[in-house]
Amino acid sequence: MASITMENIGKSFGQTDVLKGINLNVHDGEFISLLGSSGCGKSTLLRIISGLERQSSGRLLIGDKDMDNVFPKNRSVSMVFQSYALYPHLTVFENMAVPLVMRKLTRLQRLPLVGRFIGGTSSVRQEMRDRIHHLAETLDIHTLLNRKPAQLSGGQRQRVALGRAMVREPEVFLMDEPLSNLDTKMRAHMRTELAEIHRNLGATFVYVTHDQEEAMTMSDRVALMIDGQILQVATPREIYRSPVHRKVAEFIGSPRINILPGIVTNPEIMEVCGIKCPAPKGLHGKCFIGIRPSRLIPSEQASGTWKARVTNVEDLGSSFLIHSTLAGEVRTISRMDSRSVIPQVGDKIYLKPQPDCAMFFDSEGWNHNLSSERPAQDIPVSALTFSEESHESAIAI
Amino acid sequence: MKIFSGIFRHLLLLTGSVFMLIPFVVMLSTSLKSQADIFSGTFSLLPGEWGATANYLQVFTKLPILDFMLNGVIVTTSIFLIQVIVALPCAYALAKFHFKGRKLLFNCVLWCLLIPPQAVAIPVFMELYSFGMLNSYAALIVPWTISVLGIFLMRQFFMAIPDDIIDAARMDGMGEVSILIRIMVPMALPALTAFGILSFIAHWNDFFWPLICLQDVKYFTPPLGIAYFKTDDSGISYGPLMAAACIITIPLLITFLAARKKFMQGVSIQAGVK
Repeated sequence: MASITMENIGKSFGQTDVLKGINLNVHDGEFISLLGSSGCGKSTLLRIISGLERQSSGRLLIGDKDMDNVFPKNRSVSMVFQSYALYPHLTVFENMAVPLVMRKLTRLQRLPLVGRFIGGTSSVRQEMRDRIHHLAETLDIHTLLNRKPAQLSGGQRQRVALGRAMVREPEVFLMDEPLSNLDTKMRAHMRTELAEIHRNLGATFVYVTHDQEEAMTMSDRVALMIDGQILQVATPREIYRSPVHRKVAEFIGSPRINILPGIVTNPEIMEVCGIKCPAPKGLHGKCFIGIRPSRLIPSEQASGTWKARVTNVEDLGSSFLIHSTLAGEVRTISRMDSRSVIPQVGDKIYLKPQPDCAMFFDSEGWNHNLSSERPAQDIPVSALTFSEESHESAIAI
Repeated sequence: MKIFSGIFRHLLLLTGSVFMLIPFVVMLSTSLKSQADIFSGTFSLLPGEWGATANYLQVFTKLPILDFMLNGVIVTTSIFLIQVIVALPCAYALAKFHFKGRKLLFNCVLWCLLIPPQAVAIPVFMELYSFGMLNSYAALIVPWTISVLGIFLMRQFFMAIPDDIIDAARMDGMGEVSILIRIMVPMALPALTAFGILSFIAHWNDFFWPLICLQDVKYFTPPLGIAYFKTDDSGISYGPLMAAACIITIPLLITFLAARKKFMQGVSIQAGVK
């Protein structure tokens, strides 16, 4: 098995820098997701790991071996493509056999007709057949081996593509949005299946996706990429709870986190959308606070809350999403349990953040709580309430 | 309205196809008539005086028609094979590799499509003369081995094959030559068939070039061979001439009918990869 080390990898196409100094360590046997919106360079990074593309700068090591000038076929790496990229003129069996034929047989042995008479060919071919049949059974495609890809459904093609990648037992699996062409139900199913395959194989998985749900549910760690840079690499739990940057917080979590602009007026006091609240130590000037939709819910009391007007209500079945507008045209989303009293469009409501849930971002967007230069919080923010002139009481966050 | 436009469309197509078919019908009907019937001054589709037996017999007795056809087969298959060997790598490179000057090279291919073969006939003739290659199979084959049409056709088809498949093949351990042979060619079979038929028809029917570069009857291709009936002292024997023309059309018909489905896939726009 193999770990992957990326040292300062850069890639530019002409004038545009697609990757800007990527540093990432993927541990042996880890399932890591490269998460980001389209065009953030995640697929390019994957192609660099595969060897299909060469980095403009930096170093790539797979299993401590420098991969400079190592062709894709000589890396112990398999790839599953978004389009599956099955060979349309070959049957499922032949598709799965290609990686083995190209590796296990010599050029002479591969020759049509003549090849089979060269010593050892038949035993190698038998071995290959056995392995493919065995793998096909575990992937539940053994009844399809004689079909052509055009005769398969999306989910079946996906399995064949997986089988083709697995058949030669590589140390590293690269997956480029492999589930994005499947319907929702199939996707959820394949997600658990992929996670299982990963557990059984123990190989290193690098999984590219723009779907945070996929990244969060399957990965050991998530690397969030924005504009050709990795902003944060952390476990799904950590990246959700303590995003290092506002952009990370905005990307992870659905519906999107509420970002409210604020300004620190006096030391440790900030004004957010017309209401004063305590600010952590060291935060100054313009800043933002982030509150997850499930943590910002309507409340009865007027004090210590934001006044808001409901602009839209979405019924998701198990919960409701309340879109509302605060003072200064700041839009928020709240997630409410379906059993609670749901406000109507146009209603005036009071939004109350739950204790201990706010994230503070400085003017550049970095998470203030995580900035190592500054001293850590002395007092939990939730313990503080400030009284203030315009309202009876200030907000507690 | 819809019916009217349908009738109009079919009428137009019918006129076109009748126009195309008339020469063939005349050829066939003339080959069945006797010399006297042909010159009788009135035209009838069916022979007034049965001359077919004599005409066709004359073709096989007076002419080494089978030798001509064998020559035709040798020349056309050699031309096609070499054309494919040249065109496939060129088309693959032009379609899928990114290198400096790719656009310029492809434009050169397009410009070459505009050059009529007659325009370069004399320089090519001189060239072959200086190599001492005139009056041989080589003279018939060599000038046609690089087909820009073939490069163009195959390049267009290769463009439609997704890059992912090629990348997958690279990951699976194939080199570029393997990709070309194992992946690109099987996928491009319809285009290759279409090109094969075009090439076969063009060179089987070619009269101009063999006429220029050949003197020795033993290298004669079918169209040149049947022209023998024309140079006969007794004038033009139309009956046998048309009978020979009918015979040499048969291989074309058979090839086309056999490969019709692939040919249509290859030349239609939707051709490509599902």
